[in-house]
Amino acid sequence: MKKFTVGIVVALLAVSLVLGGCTSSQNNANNGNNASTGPKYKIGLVFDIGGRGDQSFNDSAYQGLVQIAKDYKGYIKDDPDKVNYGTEVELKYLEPKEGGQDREQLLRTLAEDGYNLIFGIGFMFTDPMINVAKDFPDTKFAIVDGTIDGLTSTSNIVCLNFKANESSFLVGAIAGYMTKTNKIGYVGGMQSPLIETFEAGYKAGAMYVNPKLRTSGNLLSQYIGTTGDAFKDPAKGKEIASSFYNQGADIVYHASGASGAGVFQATYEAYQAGKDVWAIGVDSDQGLIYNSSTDSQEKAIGGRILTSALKRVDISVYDTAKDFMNGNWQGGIRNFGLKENGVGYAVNDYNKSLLESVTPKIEELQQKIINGEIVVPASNAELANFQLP
Amino acid sequence: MIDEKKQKVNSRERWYRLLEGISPVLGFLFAMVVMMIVVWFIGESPSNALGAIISFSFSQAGIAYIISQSVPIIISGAANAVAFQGGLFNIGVEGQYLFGALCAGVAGAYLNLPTPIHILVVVLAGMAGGMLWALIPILLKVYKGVHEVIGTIMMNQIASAVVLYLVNGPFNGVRGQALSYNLRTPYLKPTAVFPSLHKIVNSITGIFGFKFPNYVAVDFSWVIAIVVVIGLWFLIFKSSLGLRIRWVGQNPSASVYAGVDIKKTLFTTMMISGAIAGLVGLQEVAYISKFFTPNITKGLGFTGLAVALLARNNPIGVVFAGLLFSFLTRAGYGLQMYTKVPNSLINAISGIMILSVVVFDQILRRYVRTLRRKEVGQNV
Repeated sequence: MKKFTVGIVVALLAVSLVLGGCTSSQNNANNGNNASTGPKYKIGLVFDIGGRGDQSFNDSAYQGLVQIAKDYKGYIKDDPDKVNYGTEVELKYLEPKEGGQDREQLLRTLAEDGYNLIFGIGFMFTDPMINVAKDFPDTKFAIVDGTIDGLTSTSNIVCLNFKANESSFLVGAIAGYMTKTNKIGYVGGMQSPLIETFEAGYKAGAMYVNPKLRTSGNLLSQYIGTTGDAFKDPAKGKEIASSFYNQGADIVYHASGASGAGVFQATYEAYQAGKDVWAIGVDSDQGLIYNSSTDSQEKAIGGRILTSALKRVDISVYDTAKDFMNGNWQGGIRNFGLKENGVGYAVNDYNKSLLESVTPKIEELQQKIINGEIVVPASNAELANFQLP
Repeated sequence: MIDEKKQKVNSRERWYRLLEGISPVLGFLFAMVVMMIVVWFIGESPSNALGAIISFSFSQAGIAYIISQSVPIIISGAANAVAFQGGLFNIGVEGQYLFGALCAGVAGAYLNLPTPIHILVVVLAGMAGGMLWALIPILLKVYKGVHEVIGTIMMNQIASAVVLYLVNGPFNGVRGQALSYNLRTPYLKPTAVFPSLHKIVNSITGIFGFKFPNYVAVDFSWVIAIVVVIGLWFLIFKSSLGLRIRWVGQNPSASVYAGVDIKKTLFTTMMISGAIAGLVGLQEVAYISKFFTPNITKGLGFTGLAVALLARNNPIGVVFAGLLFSFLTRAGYGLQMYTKVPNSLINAISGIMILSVVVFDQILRRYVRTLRRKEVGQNV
């Protein structure tokens, strides 16, 4: 016990020494900050665990920040890539290490540091954001993919959600036009209302453009499971996709997270076995990601990805920041569909020529959805009442 | 003549003790130096980094967060420490607290009880969950000789799968809600939520001019941590069971001759460790989020291993080691916020700091041990 008391005393002494020694340097740092004129707006963003480099959600959000910096003469503070187009807007991102109080702590730190608009990427920010937003009524908050009840347009929180059924409709239409066997498939992750919106949109799009797909049995669909594990089960994804190809389908769309790797694998193997089959990716431009890989096997798989249904987190971040800086802040729930450019389908250097023949028709459909001529169903129940031409 | 010699030995012994006592502190300072060298390599000024860490960590809110977030780390450290005292390597604290937290969450959400009893039931459910998860590995060890490291690691894997299944299946609290992504159990009944202790704690710390902000978790889990630490200290150092645990930990074959039932002692040790481990997640489940989710903070069990190591398995030491680790987390966020150290490197930096603290501490202690041996040799 004596050892510890001595230890504590010394520890306190050491800390106080260090503290004393550092106040001077700290003051200097502060003076340095004050000397330069401050930015007009300060926008903060907290990633979800995983952070930059996930080639999905978080990276897309980061792209949104880069775009803001470009268009509004801003810079990303402390960024390793040194994004810097001016000093009008300061952008800063943080990343939590753990759960617990960490997310709230980071949101709060940004709010205390005078950031005017703060993003939280992912539904895990729901409760922390409610808590912090209450304490900082003059700061605006935005959560990607979260749903918070009881918000109004004057709230200081906005929830950014995506109309996945609309992007699924377009890739469904692409599949409907491009199928040669007049049979296509859909692999869902965890069976849930959320993932059902992908299915309903995809089927509606396919049926809309291709009358042969309206007969039952030509639209194959199956879910991997009923638990969260369904999003990380590539083996099951592969199994389902293979069985679709054996039944004569030639295009398979997946909305199954990491299980999609198995769908792509199955597509590639069926292709090697002499079938002319394609896969459609989800959320990010998976074709581009696979094609840009240095691994030759992945590159080859990338060659069989027709397109992807996109979820543009970057657009949602950019648009929210733009509206805020233009003085058009609106709280509540904001849905990003085709109209807002918040969802879409992927066209890249690799699939451009493939899609050339259908692109005008897809653009036309997209216009119709934007005009409200086509109302894309968001569930299988709505799909049953969907008006086909 | 003899007295003089004795005095000399005493003063030398005092010096050794001092050295041993401050070795974690020296280790910590060494770690800070290592951190600053790394930061300097990245191209950030070390004084800037240190300023960021200190101003961010030792502000009122910073200190409050450090103390509050050390609670689960301290409990996890205590769970690991008692196992180490008994010669067991309980690497399964991770799985035990995950399952314990689920049990606590379920008990809090599904039972209808009056407040004080409900909270007690939640705590007991957590302990029972942790014990249940420690039961199989220790039975395998005692009766079949399966090493507990293998058994508990296996149970960690099973825990994450079982928890996912249970929250998806029978204990799902979000089924039917259209756009909820967060897989979780239903919210705890208000009777089961841990009471906030802000008023009591602030009335004490207010004397020193310190107030815990209301957004920092100051809750019943603090009481749990204090009870665990003090209770464990008494158990290990002041009870006959503690003596048996330490005997078995230090020399199992000798303790057989002293009449200790090794199997029984190992079993008891593991059950205590598991019960404490089951309490780790309670702050998050019963106070912060008020539901259990498989996305609960991970890795506290492994942090607890390092905490116990640094604290030399002493429950009181665990408190300081836990505070240190909590400080490192906060310091990492300070670096993220106010310096240009890339986020990806900050995890590496806190890893290096942990490593330097532990390694430096061990080296210094060994050095003192050699000095002592030398002295004994001289005296003979």
